[in-house]
Amino acid sequence: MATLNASKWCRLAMTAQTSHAAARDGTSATSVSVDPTFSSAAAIQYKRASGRSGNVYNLYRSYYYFDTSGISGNVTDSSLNIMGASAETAQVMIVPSTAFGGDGSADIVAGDYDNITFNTTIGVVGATWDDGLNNELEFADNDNAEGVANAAIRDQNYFICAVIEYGYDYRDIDASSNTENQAGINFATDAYLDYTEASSGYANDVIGVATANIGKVIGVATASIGKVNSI
Amino acid sequence: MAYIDEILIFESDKIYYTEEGVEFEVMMDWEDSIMSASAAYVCEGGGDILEIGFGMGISAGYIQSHSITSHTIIENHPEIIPKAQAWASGKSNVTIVTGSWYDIKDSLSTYDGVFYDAFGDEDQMQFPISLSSLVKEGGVATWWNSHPNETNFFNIPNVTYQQYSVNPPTNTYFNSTNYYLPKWQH
Repeated sequence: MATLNASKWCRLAMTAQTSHAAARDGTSATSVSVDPTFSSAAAIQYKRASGRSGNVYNLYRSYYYFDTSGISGNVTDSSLNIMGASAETAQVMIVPSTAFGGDGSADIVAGDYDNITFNTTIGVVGATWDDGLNNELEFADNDNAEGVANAAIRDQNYFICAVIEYGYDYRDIDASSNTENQAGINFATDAYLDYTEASSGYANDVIGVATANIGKVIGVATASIGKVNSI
Repeated sequence: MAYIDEILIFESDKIYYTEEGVEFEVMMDWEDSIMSASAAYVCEGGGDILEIGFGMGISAGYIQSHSITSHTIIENHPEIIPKAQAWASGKSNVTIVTGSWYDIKDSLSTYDGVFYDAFGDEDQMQFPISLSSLVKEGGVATWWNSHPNETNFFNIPNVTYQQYSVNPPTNTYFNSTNYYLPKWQH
């Protein structure tokens, strides 16, 4: 297994909204924390509270950019790893994002709040969240090199995602009563990708020898071989 | 965290608290004209006045400026209660009741005027249900309207609205230049 630390990360908040729709589907965050190193109880949050003759909605989402330019082999067994902190009442979900300029070339901005895709699932629901421990969030279909996340990690020079509250934010459900679902993050500890990368190059058995055991064929490194005897 | 557990910060022009470094205002002094108009409406017939939520005490001061018989104030935030009690000291027609209005509603009287302006009230949706039992026949009520229009958040029938121009600084609870004061008569 290999690891890759996040190059950029951010917490965006949409606070003090009077409706679920305004909080979830708003386009510009009310608060931006770039590359924070603090511990945040509300790094991932969906909250509906009573306001002043009305309801108040606060949503927090956390975004990550990874420089995956050094990964070219097939990726399997990948996961996003985040250090938990304090609050642990939310189920969380990883969603694809086009924040950070879409390719990591820019710092995140308030307008990146809605640069996430709800209907392309790359993650599975993180049902538990541990305070003070690493939380490993596996990607969907992560045993498959052609899984959406694994393919993106392999094929792109960047991998960008957001981690959001699952029950109400991801599922787009307006809480019918006051609710506070949150998962805390200690941003002082770098989040990282954990993955297995297959060596690139020739990937077939040769004369009964498994490809994993072959370094060279007639003096040529397997990474440099496309075909052997037209196969 | 529930509002009642928040640590409030009192400044001359506002009351607020912070969560995750974000400031949430509870009440601000720019509301003075709204508080004055609200007090005038609930006091138009004099008599017994019920005020739910003391806040900065702005409306309480205006209510006292009218000719009324009694003035009952309910406050539940532990940091505001002593401020309400200090304000009431020496005012013979004022009664401060502590706790949740909903918890003690059955012990309350009926009133000629009711002003409901509570922040973070977990029982806010009980207010419209309780209104008729709190207001005397012919009495009136108003409440804080957090919407910049005639949205009837409480779905109370037969509400009329009076528009006021306001000029709030940027805050987390009301940012329109028009306030629509709800008016309801029993």
